[in-house]
Amino acid sequence: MDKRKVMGWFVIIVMVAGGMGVVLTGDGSVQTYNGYKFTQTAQGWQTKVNGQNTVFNFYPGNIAFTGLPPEAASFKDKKVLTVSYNPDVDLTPAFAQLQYDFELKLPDSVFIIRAVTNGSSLPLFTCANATSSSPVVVFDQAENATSTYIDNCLTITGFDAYGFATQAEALLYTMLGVIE
Amino acid sequence: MSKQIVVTILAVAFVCFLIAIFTFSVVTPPQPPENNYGLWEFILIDGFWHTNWQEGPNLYDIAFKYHPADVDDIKITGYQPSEEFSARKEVYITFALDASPEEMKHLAVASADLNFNLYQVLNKNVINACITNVTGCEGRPVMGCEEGKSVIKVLQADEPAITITTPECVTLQGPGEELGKAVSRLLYAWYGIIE
Repeated sequence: MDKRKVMGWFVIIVMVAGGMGVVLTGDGSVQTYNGYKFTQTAQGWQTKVNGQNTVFNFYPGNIAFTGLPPEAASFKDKKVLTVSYNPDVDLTPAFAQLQYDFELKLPDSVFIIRAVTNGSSLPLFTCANATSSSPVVVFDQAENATSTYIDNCLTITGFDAYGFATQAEALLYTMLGVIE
Repeated sequence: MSKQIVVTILAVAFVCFLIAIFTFSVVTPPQPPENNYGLWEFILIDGFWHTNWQEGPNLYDIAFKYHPADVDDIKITGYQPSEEFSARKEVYITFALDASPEEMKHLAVASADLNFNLYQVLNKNVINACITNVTGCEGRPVMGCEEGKSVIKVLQADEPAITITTPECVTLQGPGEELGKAVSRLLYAWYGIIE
């Protein structure tokens, strides 16, 4: 095979692989979603958002259609967000972890208020406290994984830590502009 | 020995007995529930069943959503996975992105569960793919069972089942959360925990 044919095949292979958005490296596969390069790591899917390396449990393309209400996209522009959860259920540790994730992964320009819906471990915030400038996200446990938006308040429920996290992480991706 | 001394000794013994019980119950922390499966020791932590799995010098703490006894009745039908399937570095996880939002949650969880085990323990690179070319499949390979590729199809269906359609294509299916059981069952088979 002459050099031109070899180069031709090389270009075709690169174009096809690039078109599929898939590159394989020694560290795990790399896939591109909405312009963001995601690398598979031992901790999850890593990407650079706002100049910061961030790891997620779910690949965004796999949770983009999990039914997050379209109004959730409005949270992207908010400067203050309250993340509150029910402290009296089995999933409380998962809720606390995700609350921390919101604080850690969202840019510093978003002020996160950490709260609970009852008890006294943190400030008390429920949907009743939600305003357009300071919306509230409430995590709670339920039979089904759901997300409901009413009056600047998004309530996300889940049946287990994993099922619940699909929507909570979809919200994070939405607020970061990864999922549009 | 006078009656008074006997009563005193018994009273002291009784008090010591109470102190011992109290001390034991206070000092001994509550242990997580254990439920072994064959020679495998499982401990329930935060809703996940953990066990240790060793390959060569590496010891892994693997968490499963379901205990092996809860999934060992799920049948694996079809072929044995080919050596090529196991030998390839890349594994494609493919599912229908046009599923309902409720189904998508279960598909995403199943995919993430597989992804963790395939990458961290089995040293495979996972590539997220689509079964058909629908909205959201931009940037993802579109594939069903393809010759020369290791593919895991994840589906929402009525019956929980694992089918190996070809020696290089595994189909996992189940309704709702039952899909997670099929994932755990397949992983237990791959780890040799369930024969």
